[in-house]
Amino acid sequence: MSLSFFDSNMLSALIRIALTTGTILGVIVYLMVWAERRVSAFIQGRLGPNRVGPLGLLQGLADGVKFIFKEELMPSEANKFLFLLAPFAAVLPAILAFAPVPYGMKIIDGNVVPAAIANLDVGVLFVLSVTSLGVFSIILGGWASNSKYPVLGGLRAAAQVISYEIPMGLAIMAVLLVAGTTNLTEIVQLQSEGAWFVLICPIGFLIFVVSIFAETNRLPFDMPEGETEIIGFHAEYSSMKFAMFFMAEYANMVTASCIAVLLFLGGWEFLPFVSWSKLSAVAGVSIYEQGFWWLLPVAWFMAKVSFVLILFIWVRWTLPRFRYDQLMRLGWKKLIPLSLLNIVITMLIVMWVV
Amino acid sequence: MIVPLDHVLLVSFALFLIGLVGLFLRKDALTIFLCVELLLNAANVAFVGVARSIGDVTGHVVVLIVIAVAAAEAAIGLSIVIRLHQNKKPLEVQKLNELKG
Amino acid sequence: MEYLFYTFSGLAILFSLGVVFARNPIYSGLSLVTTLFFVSGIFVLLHAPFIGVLQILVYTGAIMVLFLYVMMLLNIQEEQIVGTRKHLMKWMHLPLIVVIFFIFKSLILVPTFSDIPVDEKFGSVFNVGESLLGSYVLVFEIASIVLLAAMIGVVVLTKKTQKEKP
Repeated sequence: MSLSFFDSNMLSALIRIALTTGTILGVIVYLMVWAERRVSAFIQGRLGPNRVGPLGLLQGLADGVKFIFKEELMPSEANKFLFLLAPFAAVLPAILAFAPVPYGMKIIDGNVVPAAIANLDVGVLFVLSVTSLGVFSIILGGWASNSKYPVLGGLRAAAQVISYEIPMGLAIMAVLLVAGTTNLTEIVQLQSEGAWFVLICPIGFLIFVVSIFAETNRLPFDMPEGETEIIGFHAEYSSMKFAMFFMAEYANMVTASCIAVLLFLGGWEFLPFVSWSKLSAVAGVSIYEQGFWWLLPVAWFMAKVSFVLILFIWVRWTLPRFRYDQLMRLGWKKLIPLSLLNIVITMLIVMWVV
Repeated sequence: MIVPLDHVLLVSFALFLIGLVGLFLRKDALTIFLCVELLLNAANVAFVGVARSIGDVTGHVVVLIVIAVAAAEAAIGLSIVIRLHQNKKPLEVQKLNELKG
Repeated sequence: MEYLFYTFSGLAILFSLGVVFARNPIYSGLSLVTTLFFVSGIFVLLHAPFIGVLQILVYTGAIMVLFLYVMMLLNIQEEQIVGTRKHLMKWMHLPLIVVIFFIFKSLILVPTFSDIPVDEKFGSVFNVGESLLGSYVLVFEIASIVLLAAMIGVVVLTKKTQKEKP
């Protein structure tokens, strides 16, 4: 039921929250920053950071120290309160959105216990709504700087994020039509025996991936930052406040990848039509009930998420950046009609095939 | 959870009252819109409270419709505000005493 | 659990005061965002998780973003709170009437407790959706027409007329 962690043991809930949040921010985001630089270097035939620590793994730590010791600049005419609020408004929804994301499950006494902070009935909607709050940080950060370029950058970025929320929502809608539930764990369970939803609505998957690229301000749609050609909303930010915007971006990428995997790529299930339970029945272990076997699907889920994350980097060095009017034309004139068409097609499939 | 319906309605009413006072006190069109949103929300709280109390989901349906209408209202209202600003008109509602655009 | 309800309500009322009395319209908008959050919390506690999430999704994530966007676009400056005390007094009788009416009404009509046991599924997406697309499907369709009309209206209103083009 909704908000189940309020009813259950408060302490265990707090431990779960701390563990999950710490893992996302401390480990995955950290590794993602490292992977981004190494993979970028690999694609461009460079070496990338490889001096600090083994394989350059400690480079992020060194960068963090650099960020902390940089001077905190505050524009003299800025609105101080809102200027300070904006980075927090970016990080908070990014972490909060991870609350209903399950990354595995376990069966205790015949009951499915998903490994998530909260097993919300309205999980998909919760993630959608909380990620849509990230746009406040863009608006506030741009406006509070009280400087021309950040204001223009903020307006541009906010319009982009709002626009691409629509095709993203409509793409998710098609999945919900097939699944008939908004609970993320149940959506994965529905995919365990049958086809993954990417096979049922491939257009939806395509639209969703394009939209999350725009939502998380990644290339080829990184107009909000656009450090080389146009100036973004955080031009006046420096030091840790600047780093917080990027931490939020990476955390958003992780959440978006998790959602893509859960909704379209079968979550922690092994392959389409081959579920872990079927596989374990052949092997003779009940994977969700005994011992630590349930960690195997979790690892598989992580592998899938990493694949989507690598895709982010891969696309970054494959496609050139869009111009702003091209971006808007793509969003409103191509993706939204296409996603509506996708809903109709999915509806017909649900009616006659499934 | 046992919260008397009276208390839910009292919260709803407090929000409504504050919105109403804001409606009368403020003069710029944007803040007045914000106060209207506050009024709609107060009504929503009452609807959800009563729906819970009588165990009927109709109240939720009404809230959904109210949210849809609020979205429509905000869109139209804000486009009028932008239009006024384009025509160099003041945004204070008391000074807007002619309809000719 | 009761304390959560009272905390959320108290904070919602506190921030709604901020909506009315903040001088800067941006602060007003942000206070309303916070108020909407707490109201959504109240909805979840009142067994309406779907409405609570939709409140954040539509109200906070779309409508309030639009408001703040327009405020930023027009670069609204701080305004003085209008109305002398006299002006305030002029209007004070109307809320007063509503107060008396409301208290009266609530004393007479309302049962004291609201804890009719409802099942787990009350207020879930399935439950509300069944009602919305079942008995209230006409209302649903009318709402969609209202939204369509608003959309067309906005396009017509904000479109530049021939005369204004440079």
